[in-house]
Amino acid sequence: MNFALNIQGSPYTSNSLWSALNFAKACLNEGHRIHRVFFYHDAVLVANALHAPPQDERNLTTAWQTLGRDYELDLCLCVASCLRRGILNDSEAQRFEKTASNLAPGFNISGLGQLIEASLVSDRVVSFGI
Amino acid sequence: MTQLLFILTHPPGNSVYAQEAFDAALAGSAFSSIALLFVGAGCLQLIEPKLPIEAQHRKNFQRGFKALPDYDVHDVYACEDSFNQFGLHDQALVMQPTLLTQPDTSALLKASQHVLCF
Repeated sequence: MNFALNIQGSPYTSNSLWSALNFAKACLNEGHRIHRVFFYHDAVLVANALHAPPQDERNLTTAWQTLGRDYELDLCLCVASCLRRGILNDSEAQRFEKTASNLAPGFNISGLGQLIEASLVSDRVVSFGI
Repeated sequence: MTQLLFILTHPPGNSVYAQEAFDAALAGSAFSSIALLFVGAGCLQLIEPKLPIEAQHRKNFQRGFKALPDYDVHDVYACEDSFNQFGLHDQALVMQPTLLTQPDTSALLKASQHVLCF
């Protein structure tokens, strides 16, 4: 089966991103495909390269990057959510004349159309709320 | 058949979630046939804002509800139980949704190809 994931919860504050990560791993282990992982609302904050959680806690950003790399997942962030919350890639940082960018490698910034497209072409879309 | 059903659960005032969810629904309407279903505190989005919107430090995104027919969105539903729970029958609303009982809601979910919950 082909899945699309719609993740909305804030990293660390909410369990949404961990639940989604476990769900994604379970899907892939069972041989299903994940067309796209879409990060919306506060979930885009997971792509902040500046996260530095305590060493005895798991790093959510790294966990998603690893899964994304191992399975060549499309980890897609909503651009409007990103700009509101200060997640910028190089080109957005330049466009808004900011002194730095902070998008972690492995994630890409795109638009809501990617969520809609993923929902329409997948067999199931699973939302992980705030 | 509705291709995408957007379930809206967040109240309008205390976060940007309701506004962002509506943005997602509008994006959906550009690609496919959509329906909106307000449930729980999400129904509070339908109340005509009473305070000046500037005082709430947010956009009056609910104005967009009135423009939904222009986006070819005609199926706007709300949970009848939530309407009772929040006493919304006597309130001035931005728009009047079609109220659904629980069995109606189940039928709507079954008739929708994909469901996106916000």
